[in-house]
Amino acid sequence: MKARETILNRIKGIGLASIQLQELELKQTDAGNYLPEFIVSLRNAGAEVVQLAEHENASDFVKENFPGTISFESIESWKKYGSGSTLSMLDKLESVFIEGQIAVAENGAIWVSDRWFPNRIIPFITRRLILKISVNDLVPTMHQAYTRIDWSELSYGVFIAGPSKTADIEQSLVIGAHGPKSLTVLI
Amino acid sequence: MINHAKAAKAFLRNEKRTDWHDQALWFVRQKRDRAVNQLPEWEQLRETASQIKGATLSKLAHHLLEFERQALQNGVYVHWANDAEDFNRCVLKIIRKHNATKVVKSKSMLTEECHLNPFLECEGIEVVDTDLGERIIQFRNEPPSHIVLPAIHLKKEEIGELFHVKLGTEAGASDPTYLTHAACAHLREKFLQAEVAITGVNFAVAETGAVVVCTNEGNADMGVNAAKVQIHCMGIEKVIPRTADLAVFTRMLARSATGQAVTTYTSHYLKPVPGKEMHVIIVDNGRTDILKKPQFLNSLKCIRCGACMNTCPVYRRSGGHSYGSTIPGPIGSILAPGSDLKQYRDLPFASSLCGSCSNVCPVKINIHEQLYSWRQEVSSARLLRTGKSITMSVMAKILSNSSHYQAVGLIARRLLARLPRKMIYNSFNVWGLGRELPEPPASSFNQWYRQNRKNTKL
Amino acid sequence: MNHFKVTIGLFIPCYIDQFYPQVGIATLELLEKLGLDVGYPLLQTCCGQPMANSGCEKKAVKVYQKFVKNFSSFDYVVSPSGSCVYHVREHYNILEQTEQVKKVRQSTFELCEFLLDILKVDDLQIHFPHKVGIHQSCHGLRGLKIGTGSELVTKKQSKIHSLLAKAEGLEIVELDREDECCGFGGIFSIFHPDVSVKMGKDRVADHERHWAEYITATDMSCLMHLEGIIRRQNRPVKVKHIAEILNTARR
Repeated sequence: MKARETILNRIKGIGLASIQLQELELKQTDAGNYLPEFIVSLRNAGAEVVQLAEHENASDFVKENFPGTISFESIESWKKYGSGSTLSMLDKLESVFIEGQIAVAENGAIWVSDRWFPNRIIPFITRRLILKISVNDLVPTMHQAYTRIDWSELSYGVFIAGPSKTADIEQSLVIGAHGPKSLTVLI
Repeated sequence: MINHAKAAKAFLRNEKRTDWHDQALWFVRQKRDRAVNQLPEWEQLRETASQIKGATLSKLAHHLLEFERQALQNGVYVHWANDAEDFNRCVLKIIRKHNATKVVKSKSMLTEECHLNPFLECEGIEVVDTDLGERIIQFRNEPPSHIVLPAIHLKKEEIGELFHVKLGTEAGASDPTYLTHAACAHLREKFLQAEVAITGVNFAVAETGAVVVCTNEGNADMGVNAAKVQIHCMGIEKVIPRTADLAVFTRMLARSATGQAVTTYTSHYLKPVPGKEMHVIIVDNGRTDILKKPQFLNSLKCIRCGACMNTCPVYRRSGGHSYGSTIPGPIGSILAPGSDLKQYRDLPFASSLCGSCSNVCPVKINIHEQLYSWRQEVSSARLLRTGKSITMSVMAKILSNSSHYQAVGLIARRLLARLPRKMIYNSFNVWGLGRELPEPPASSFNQWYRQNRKNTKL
Repeated sequence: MNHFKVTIGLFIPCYIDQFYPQVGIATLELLEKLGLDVGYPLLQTCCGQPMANSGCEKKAVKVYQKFVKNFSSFDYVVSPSGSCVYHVREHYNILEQTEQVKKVRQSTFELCEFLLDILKVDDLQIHFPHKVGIHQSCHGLRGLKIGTGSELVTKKQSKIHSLLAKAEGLEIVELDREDECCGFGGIFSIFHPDVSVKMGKDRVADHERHWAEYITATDMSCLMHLEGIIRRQNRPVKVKHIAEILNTARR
């Protein structure tokens, strides 16, 4: 505890004049159509985009197009890949389907939290990630996105924008680093 | 003492490579320009971000305590460390508590600053940097040359050779995709074996106790979520008051750093998984000393985006290692003298004071003005090189006396006009090493004026 | 504004005085052509920037005081150097802020700013039939804001471009890097010669890639550095201070 007191006392000892934190002016969210911008952002972030018609069912689409995908709409998967699962088992995950909660038009980020999947490592350890997002959950910027998150319940959450990537070798963009090599977004 | 000019000279010896380095970073600057120009409110965001940081720094103890309170409530262990040694011991203690020997680490400039890796290695612990660029330089046993692009100074062929030796990739292979995937396969093994995961912290939100980490590769989340114990290391200046502030910074960080709209992963760690442990270490290590100095405290607003490096014409042509400090480039040149003025007295001079760094900075740190102020500090502490100090005293004497000034000017112009070239362009004439001196005119403007205008006002 | 009532103090920085008198002459002639009452204090020396940029601003105080003394009687002080003007405005803050000091700091202007913001000139009848590259000297650009730095997301403006817009025959060439530093940087050019020269070489190359015949700037110091490189390497491109171009009206 010694360092704690030392640091806090040092800061207090400086006695900086207090500067008032300003209220952030949030631009009013108009109920605009953010979908085109969102799609552009997703593609820029390296994601594949699939727009489903109203009558199409996302689960069916995944089953048809990505056979073998583990869907977290099914209770069995929850159990199998929950806290009892081992890393070596999780490491074999090829394709995972998760529901996103909020999507941001300006950057293509989609919010997921561990309330919606049984093990925190799943969206990262899988080779392919498929995220479903409803147009109703689309907001223009990060400002609106952060107001929608329920922090009282949250223990872990992440905005995901595209598949994992790196440009650490000569600035050449390589899709697929430690996280998934591909991200498909179903809207 | 660091000698930037000398190190830069060595870097510049290979001009083609310098051009390549310059161009690679300029490319990032251009990407940044495109990304920020998509937000018409960019300048307003900068102002807001700067205000938030300024207000937070003015009540830093309050916000740190609030963060601690929330984090404790979330079931997080919160530690405090005075300096690098304190910090390193704190990390070691946590590792020892779990009898762990295998650690994975995602990018953290703080752990670089405190030299955590060598410390842990001496204690028999394997630390693996998991960010690709960091892993490359860890293999090479050298510090990062850039805070966002740690291996920007290396060519793919060099990385190919390195990976051939370290990872057994094919000899001569230099395709970035191939090399990246090889490194990722190697690192996945490390993730799966890791017992403890260490990360840096981009933002710590006082209101919720959330620790926010931004990566593109997903290495922070792979490590944290694989290991039993997660340790997040933050400087005291990383705290921000509200979740709403996070929106401002996440909109700006990646756009400034790499020209992306946002990093691929913006992860919010609040509570550990039941049965696992989450630790946060809050580190001072000289930051309160900077906080004490009104003309320099703005440097603590830095969010480590690296934009000032990409835009700096000197950095691009001298390389990150020429600065000899953990954080190179313009921001490093105002941070390092605060930690050790004697050692880093040369850095505030490693700039043409063009001011591009201040314009590009998302939190509006007046970097070039601080460089100017640090120069005054160096001189006040009597740490200027003797030659420089004497020259300046002589110049000041001459320039405060009009007739001395005119006389010296006249002599200089005459000598320049009459002396043989060999005598003028000797090795003491630093200007003349790569440049011609101006051709001396017959008369100065002052002389011309006296001859050509009658009603002179004195 | 009634041009005939105000007095202008012409501030010619030391290196222009000694090495580039033609720039001082062009500035003086231009201001006189505009009907202004221009005085040139013969006892002036320097703004003190070389010492201050070396970290020795305290040693420069006497030079600062001399500057204030020489120029405090004028309504405006005008100089063909953004860098020196910036220094007077920004860094004379260490002097005791007497009325004289405050007045001099507020009324000192770089030539282009003065022409546009104070005189509000429209057409200088410039005749300069050449391809010209504009090197935006940093202290003028980012310090005095006589243009918009390429880093900023605000409405673009450039006083040099505005002044040259109606010039006859003059073609402004676009550069790859619109406002990269030339590498002069005062004492930087002496104590970091290798990086400084490399920056200058790159700046010259950018102009040559776009077939500029002339490089112009608000600061002769940048041009002195670039000219030094051009002459050393026998390059065809030439330098010309903005005052010399602005003063090309056909009489």
